[in-house]
Amino acid sequence: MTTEQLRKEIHTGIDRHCAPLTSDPYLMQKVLRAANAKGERGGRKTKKRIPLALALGILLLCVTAGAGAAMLLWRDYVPQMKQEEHELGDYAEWPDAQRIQLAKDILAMGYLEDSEDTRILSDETATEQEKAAAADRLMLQLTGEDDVREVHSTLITYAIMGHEDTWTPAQRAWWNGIITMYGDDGAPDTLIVPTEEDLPEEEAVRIARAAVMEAYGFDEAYMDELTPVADLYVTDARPDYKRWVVQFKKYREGSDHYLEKNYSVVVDENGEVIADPDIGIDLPESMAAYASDENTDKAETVNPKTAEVYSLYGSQVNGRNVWRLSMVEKAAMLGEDNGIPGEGAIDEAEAVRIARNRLASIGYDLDSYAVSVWYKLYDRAATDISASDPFYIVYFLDDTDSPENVFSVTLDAADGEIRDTFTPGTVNH
Amino acid sequence: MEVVRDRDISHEEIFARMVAQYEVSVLRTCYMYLRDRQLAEDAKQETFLKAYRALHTFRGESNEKTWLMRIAINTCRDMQRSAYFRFVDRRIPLDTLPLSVPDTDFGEADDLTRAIMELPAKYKEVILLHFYQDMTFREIAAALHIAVPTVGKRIKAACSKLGIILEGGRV
Repeated sequence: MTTEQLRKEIHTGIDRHCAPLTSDPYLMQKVLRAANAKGERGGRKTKKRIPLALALGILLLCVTAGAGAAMLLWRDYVPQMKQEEHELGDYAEWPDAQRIQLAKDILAMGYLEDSEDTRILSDETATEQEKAAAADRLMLQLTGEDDVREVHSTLITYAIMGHEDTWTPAQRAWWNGIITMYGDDGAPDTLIVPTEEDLPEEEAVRIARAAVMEAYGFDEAYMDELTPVADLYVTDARPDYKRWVVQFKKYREGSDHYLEKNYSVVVDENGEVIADPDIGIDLPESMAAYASDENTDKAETVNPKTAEVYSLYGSQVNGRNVWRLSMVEKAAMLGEDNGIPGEGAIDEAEAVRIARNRLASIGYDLDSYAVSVWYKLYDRAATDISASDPFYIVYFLDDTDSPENVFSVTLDAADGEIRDTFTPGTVNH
Repeated sequence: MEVVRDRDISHEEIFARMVAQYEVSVLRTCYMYLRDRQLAEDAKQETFLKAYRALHTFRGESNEKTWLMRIAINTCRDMQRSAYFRFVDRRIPLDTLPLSVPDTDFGEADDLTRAIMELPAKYKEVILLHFYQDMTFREIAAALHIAVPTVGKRIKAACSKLGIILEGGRV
């Protein structure tokens, strides 16, 4: 087949199959309305006007409540930082002057304690480079990161306001508006601030909790271990239809980002538990049945390892190729089941040595391949995650940018015992 | 004859032309990527909203279609990732999620179209951009932020997965 023949066949096939997908005569209006609703005209962002009453309210809060004023200041400042990220890229790519200014602004808002680095920021004898280096150190200190490339507005916001799950629905709606405005959300839902006319948050959580208990057979004690996070939302498809999504989350002990469990329920404004295809959430009983089928039918599905390898093929996180991340970076950036070796675990070099020997023993000499080591705190596919022990997956790739051949060896973190070997020819085993 | 200079044309006029020219093709590309009609409609609207917002920053270093397709692909990636990671039980593999809306109006997809829809994202992207959007390797590389040789490798691998042998092994 020639390229042109293939092109013609693909064009014809897609256009025939997608014939019902045609133009929307109102698209232009919808886009302009959405843009203008967010304070933009003619494709340019304009400063949002704050209503006088709100401005007075903010001023009053600033005057009367110290901590509250600090939070409001950062809330007001975030759009500016988002805009700079939008124009200049991540913090690490900003020119010295902007990095210094950000640190000075955050200091002025009261989120940084006085230190040698804060002194350098306003030291007239210090060079721009010295000030920028001080700004970087302050940002690392604030966010708890150890690499300046990881610093961005979201981490600073979390450092100042705490994790999103601890916020009120109104705060998450505000944040949703911020990230949507700068185009890095892409979620099909828009979170909105609840009013007195809406089903109360507590009522939505109570209804959702009962639904999860019934669908999954959980008792009160187990539910108490989960953290409910409720958001009121609408979608573009149904902009006037408000409903709550309640997520019951369980994080690994001592972590705020290793999510072990997450049960989601949608509750409509009448207090009914519903499925919402707009955001891909089914009824709890269907989700429970699906999860159960997933476990029992695993043998008939694609090897989870194969699926994981394919899902990672082109992955990037914050512009970084996941294959090139260190274990610490993977734990920090990807979270969930990714971690770093704890006490009693064999070290990374030993894991690589065992994996390499294993593949050599079955005829694969992979000295020229790149190595990517992952430390998994638990097996996501396990029926009982809490009973799953940590393990290493050592990947060998012919090309980290576009891997065509991927091998992996999974081994127990405690004693290096091999659990699984994956080669490009593996389908199910 | 009057010469229409760029500065005589408003953003709205430029944008209206882009919508007229690319809307259907963006929509169908999003659908092929997301395999869901409602998500594809949302992705299309989001793509044009982002394009409208960023129109003043578009300086023509890449061509208009490349620029728009980059936004569309990134929007699809975000949408898929976001809907999945934010709400769904993460033990369920992304590719096995059921479609949200039964697409009863759609005709039966031929084997090739169905196979393209089922490709892993990185292969699907290059196939759609090269063979459906008629973009060159260089344009695809610019749109996806990857090297030109990588585009070739991915297309070759995608064709292999689709069971297609191209004459002379060329794409």
